[in-house]
Amino acid sequence: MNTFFYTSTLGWLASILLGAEILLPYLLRRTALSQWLGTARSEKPYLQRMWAHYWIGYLVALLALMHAWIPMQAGGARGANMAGLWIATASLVLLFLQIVLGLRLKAATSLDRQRNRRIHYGVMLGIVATAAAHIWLNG
Amino acid sequence: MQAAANTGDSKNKSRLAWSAIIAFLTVLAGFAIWHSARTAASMSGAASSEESQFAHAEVGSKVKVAMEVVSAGADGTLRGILLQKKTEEKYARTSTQVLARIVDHTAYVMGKRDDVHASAAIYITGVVQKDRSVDAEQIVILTGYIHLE
Repeated sequence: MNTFFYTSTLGWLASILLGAEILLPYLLRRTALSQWLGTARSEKPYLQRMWAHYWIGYLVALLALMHAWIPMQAGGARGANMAGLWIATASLVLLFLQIVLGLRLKAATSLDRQRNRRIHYGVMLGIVATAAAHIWLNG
Repeated sequence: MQAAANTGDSKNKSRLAWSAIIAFLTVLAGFAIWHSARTAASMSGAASSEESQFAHAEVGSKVKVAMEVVSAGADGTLRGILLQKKTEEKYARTSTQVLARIVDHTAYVMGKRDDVHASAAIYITGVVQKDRSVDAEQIVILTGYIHLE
């Protein structure tokens, strides 16, 4: 049952880190929440303070990829809810798209920054929705 | 002097907040690992699914059986064959027929009621009835995680 253990653990860890990943910009930007918690007190520029957000993003994508790879390699996808697996595939694609968008946003000189931020936010909602549907259908 | 004290307080507050967030995430991660290990262990429990053990189980006793569902009725009646565990992920079909019933309080692990269909591999914990059927208290969906031979 090692396949199940690793698949399940990696999936839950990716979900927890996804939550942290979403929360981080709100804790690092100067918002009412970050002021109250005192989490945005660094003097460094915002994009430099976001280093943990970048690395957790890569880690979530890696964990999600391993979460998909382990059961596929073991032939464990047979019999599982197929709709849930297709939704999970969409979620994985969105995660990698989010990395590309994030890298573009990281370039502070980006001209269409506002537009990219809106897309980044929209893709985040898409990832949350697809991940939640995957957990509901296959969890 | 006052400004330095304020900066120190602010630093401490920030450190405390980040420590609390990291501690919360660590606890969540620990719970996730514990939950996964517990579910994996309940799947491994299928070792007790011995053919003779099941055949000699007394009425009212609790049994744990792995079965391949042959037919699943809308009324919750499950007909199938007993599976014999070979390794952690390999099970062999036996000639022993199993009749089980899904009841109101049946709990599902790693799946839902809809996953209990013909050809599904499941692991049932339940109570033996007078007609040798098993009233399922818990059903673990093994489909996809084990190989049948």
